[in-house]
Amino acid sequence: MDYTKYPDGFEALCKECDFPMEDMAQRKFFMTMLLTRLIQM
Amino acid sequence: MDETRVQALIEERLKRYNAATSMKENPGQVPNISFYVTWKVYDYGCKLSEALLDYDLMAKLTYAFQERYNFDGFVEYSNRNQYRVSQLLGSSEYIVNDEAFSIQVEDFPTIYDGELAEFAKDPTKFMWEKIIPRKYPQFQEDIEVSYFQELVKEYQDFSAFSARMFSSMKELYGIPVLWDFRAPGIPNPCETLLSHYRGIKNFSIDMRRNKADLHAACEALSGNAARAAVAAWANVAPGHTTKSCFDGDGGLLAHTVMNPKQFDEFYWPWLKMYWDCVSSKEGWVIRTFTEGSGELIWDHLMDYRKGMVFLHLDIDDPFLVRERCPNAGIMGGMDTHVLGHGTKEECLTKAEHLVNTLGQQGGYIFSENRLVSYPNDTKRENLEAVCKYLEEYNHRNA
Repeated sequence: MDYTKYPDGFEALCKECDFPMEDMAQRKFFMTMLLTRLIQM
Repeated sequence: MDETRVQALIEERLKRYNAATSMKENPGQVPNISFYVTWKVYDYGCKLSEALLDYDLMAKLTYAFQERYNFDGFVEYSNRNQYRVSQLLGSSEYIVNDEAFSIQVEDFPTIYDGELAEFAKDPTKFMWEKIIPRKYPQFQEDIEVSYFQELVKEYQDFSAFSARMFSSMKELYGIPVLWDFRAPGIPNPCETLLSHYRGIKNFSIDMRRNKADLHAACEALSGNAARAAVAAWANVAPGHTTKSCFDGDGGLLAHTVMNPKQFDEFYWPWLKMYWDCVSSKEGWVIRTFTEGSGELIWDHLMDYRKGMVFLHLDIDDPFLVRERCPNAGIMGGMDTHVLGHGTKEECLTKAEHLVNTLGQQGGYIFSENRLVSYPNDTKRENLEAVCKYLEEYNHRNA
């Protein structure tokens, strides 16, 4: 799987990562928030 | 320090904050707020690279800093540089120099020339497929889940460290958190585009030659979040915080590359959105740091109620700001050039002047005039003398 492609890779990573929440919408929100933080560091 | 003493200190400091934010004359109290960042590491005596990679060490040196100087509040809790997280993804953006005691950040664009319109069409896709790989070379097509998992854990560790610092400074030393975030801020896309996507030079060119694309990128980046935040403000309660000094916080940096016309076209609409929200809640007070000179906002400030905005100054003369913006609170003014190169007596003279003029007028919080970072920014004995003076002043006038 090429995780660097959007949206398929993004969503696959959201699904497969061990995030502290079950709901997919919350996982995507968490990933988007993390993405923003990574860019703004 | 026992719990009773800690609680007493919290209450004492909250009263001190309120005395300043009330904007009343002769408040008798002047809060002393630390604007120290990496100088704390130097003062402790360890290397920057050591402290940035070791959260326990960073916590320890911050506690030592407070024990030595006894500030009333902190702008920065030693959590400014997310160095460990960025290193994990192979970023070369941070350049830590232990000899010079400096952290440099490379100014390189992650949105290239001609790409603003593409970014505006789908910012999340653009961030994922182009910005992240450009910023973090290890984010390539063969990246594995386990690697990303490690990154998430590293970020969570950083978040936990930040939370630890906020709570431990309060529990151990009676330092309330400086701002009580009870409502969403309005992100200013100019700051993000300048600092993280286009860089200083390209952003400046965009304002002149790519206005339509720049406006589109601003809207795509922050439009929905800003409107959602404005809607959320309808449910925010009025009244000044009882837990902190400020009800909100913000900082201006991108304005430093703008002329007045550019500021009014690109920056001010987003800042106005936030200030209008704050203005709708009686009693709310926000800190606004202005990198360089904040002159571009002085006239706009006069349209808002007295004391709504506390300007945390950089190079601006606090006495000039007091004259030009009589309805703004002022934070800062203690010149790091004097702290770093002056005598103890010169530092005390400066501090006394600030306290006996601006402090007596009301609406004044004592702090340094820039983020204090380098060894030469302060001599220890000067900071000790100034902090002791403020402590004695506040106790004498309590």
